[in-house]
Amino acid sequence: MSIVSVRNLQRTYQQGTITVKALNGVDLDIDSGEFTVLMGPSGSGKTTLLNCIGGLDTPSSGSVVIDGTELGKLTKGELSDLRLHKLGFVFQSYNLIPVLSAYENAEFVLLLQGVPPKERRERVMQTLKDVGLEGMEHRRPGELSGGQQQRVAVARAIAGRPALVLADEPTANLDSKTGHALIELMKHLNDVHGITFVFATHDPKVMDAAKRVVQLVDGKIESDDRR
Amino acid sequence: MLLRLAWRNLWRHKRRSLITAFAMAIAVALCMATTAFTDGMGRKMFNVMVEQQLGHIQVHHPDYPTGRKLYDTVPEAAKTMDALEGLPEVAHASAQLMGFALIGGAEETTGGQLVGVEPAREIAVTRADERIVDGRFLEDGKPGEIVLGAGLADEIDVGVGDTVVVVTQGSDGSIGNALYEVVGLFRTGNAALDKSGSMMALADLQDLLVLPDQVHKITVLGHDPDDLLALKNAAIAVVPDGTQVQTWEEASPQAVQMMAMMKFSTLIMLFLVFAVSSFGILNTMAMSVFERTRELGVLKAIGLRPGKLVQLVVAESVFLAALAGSIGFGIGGLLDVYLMVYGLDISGGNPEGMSFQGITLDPVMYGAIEPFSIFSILAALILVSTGASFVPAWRASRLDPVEAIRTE
Repeated sequence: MSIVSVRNLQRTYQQGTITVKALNGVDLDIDSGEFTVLMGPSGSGKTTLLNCIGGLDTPSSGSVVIDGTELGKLTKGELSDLRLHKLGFVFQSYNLIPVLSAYENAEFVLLLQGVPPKERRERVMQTLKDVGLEGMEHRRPGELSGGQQQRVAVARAIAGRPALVLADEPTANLDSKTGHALIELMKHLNDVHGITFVFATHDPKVMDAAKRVVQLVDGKIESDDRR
Repeated sequence: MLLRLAWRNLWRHKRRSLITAFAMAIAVALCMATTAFTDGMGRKMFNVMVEQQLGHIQVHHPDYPTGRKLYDTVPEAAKTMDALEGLPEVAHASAQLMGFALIGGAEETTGGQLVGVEPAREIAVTRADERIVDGRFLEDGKPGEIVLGAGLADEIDVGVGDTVVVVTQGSDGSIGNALYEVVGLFRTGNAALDKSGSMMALADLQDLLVLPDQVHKITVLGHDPDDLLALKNAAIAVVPDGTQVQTWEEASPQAVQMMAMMKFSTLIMLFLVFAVSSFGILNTMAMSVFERTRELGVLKAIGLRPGKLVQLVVAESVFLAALAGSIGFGIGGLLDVYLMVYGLDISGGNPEGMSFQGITLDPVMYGAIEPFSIFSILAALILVSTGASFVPAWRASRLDPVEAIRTE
C-alpha cells in the first residue's frame, strides 16, 4: 500500500527574471516499509521533492497524497497536524532544541500529540534505547557528539510513530564512521520496526543500504531502481 | 512543555533577560512609589475637601450654594437634625450657620467668616478639634466662645485667652455685636479658611444673626461613602419641604474634576513609563525570535501549530514580566511602606506646608495604597509584556519552515 503518492508534481521558483523548474512533472509512489533514497546532483530537486512530500513546501501544480490525505486540500493548521501525527523529520544539522535534554527533545512530539504521561515515558525511553542513547537521557544537545545528536534527532522523528520518516542529508555533518553507524541504525529500525524512510542524499553509504534508489536529474525522475 | 521551553529560553541570554527584567522592575517600582504618593495626596484632598467640608451629602436651601444669602436657610433645624441622625444610613450629621462679620482684636479688625456649629456634632463629622493648633475646640454648653483660623488670629493680633468683638448685620436688619473669648486657633489645610474663618456655638450665631432654629447647611456622613444615592434618598424623605439634598459630587463638581484629574494624570504617567519599557521587551523578544529562526522553523516543521508558536513566544515574555513584576512589586512595596510610614517632606522649607488647588497640604505628605493603582500597574505590566511580544510572536508564527531551517 502506498504511503506516498506523488502525481505530476511541478515546483517552479522565480530567481529574478529567470523561472527555475525545481521539479518538472514527478510521479512517485512509496510503499509502507520502504527504505528509499532520492539521489542526484545539487539542484536536481531531491530536497524540494522531500519538502513537498513533507508538506513544508507548496507545489506549483500536481498533487501529494500522504497515507490517503491530499496535502493541497489541507489548511496550514491541518498540515501541521498531519506532520505531527504522520511524519517524522531528520535534518542535516540535527536541529534539536538546545535547552531541552535528549529525553525532552524526543518527548516533545509525543507531548504535542497528547500521549498520556505513562505511555509517553515508556515510549521515549524505549526509543532512546533503540537509537543507542540509553543513559544519556538527561544530556542536552551541547553535551552530545554530532552522531549522538543525530541519534536524538532520529529518536524525535520516530518517537511519534509516524507513517513516514523524511531525512534530508542526515549524514552530511557526520564523519564516515559515525555516518555509517547512523545508517545502520535507520536500516535496523526499518527492518525490525517496519518504519518507512525516505532520504535525500548523495552519500554512497546511504545508497548502499537503500532498498530503492530514485535518481533525479533536472527536476525529473531519471531512474527508479528497486533492489 | 511549552511553558518549560519558554522558561528555559528566557535564560539562554541571562544578562539580556535580566537587564530587561530590571528595567521593567524599576518602571514598576517607580510607578508604585509615584502612585502611592499621588494616592496619598488624593486621599488627603478627599479628606480635606469631602469629609471635612462637603460631607458625603449636604442639606441646604436650593439657592444657598449659588447665592450664599443669609436668608436661604433650612428651617426647623433641630428637628431635621434629629430626623437625619435617626436614619440607619447616617453615621453623623452636623449643622452649620454661616455669616460674615467684622472681627476685631484690641488693635486690628478684619472681615471674616463666622460658622456656627454644635461642637460635639461638628467634631463627629469634620473632626474639627484635630485641627486646633493652639488652645481647645468649642465645647457644648459653653456659650460666648470662639475659635479662629490661625491666619486670621495673626492678622488681628490675638491669641488664646483674648477677647474679640464681632460685628455683623442680623437677618432683621439690626446690627448684632458681641464679645467672645478666643479659646482656640485652628489650621484646616484650606488656606482661605485659615485666613478668614472662625467658629462659634450655633446658638450664639443664631442669636447674633437673628435666625432662630435655622441653619444654612447640614453636612452628613454616611456609613457607606460608596453608596451616596441610598444616603441621599433616605435624607430626602426626612428633610423639610423646600430644602435640597446634594451628594458631594453634585455640590462640588470641581472636587470631582480634581479627583478625576489626579487619577488621569497617574494613568498618563503609567502609560508613558510602560510605553518606554515596552520597547525593552519588544527588543528582547524580537532579538530572541530572530536568533532562533531556524529552531522555530524546526518546531513548525515537526508539527507545532502557528498558534502554539505564538503562545510560546508570548509565554517567554509573560515570564519576563512576571520576573520583572516580582522584583518591581518587591522594591515598589518597600518604597510604598517608606512613604506610608515616614512620608515625604514637600514643604520646600515652608513649615506650614505647600498650597495646592487652594488646599494647604501637610509639610510631610504620606503615601497611600489604592487597589485601583496597584491593579492599573499590574494591568499595564501584563498588557505591555503581551502586547510587546505579540509582534515577534506573530512573525514567528508566519515563518516559512523551509526558509527558516535554511537560516544559519
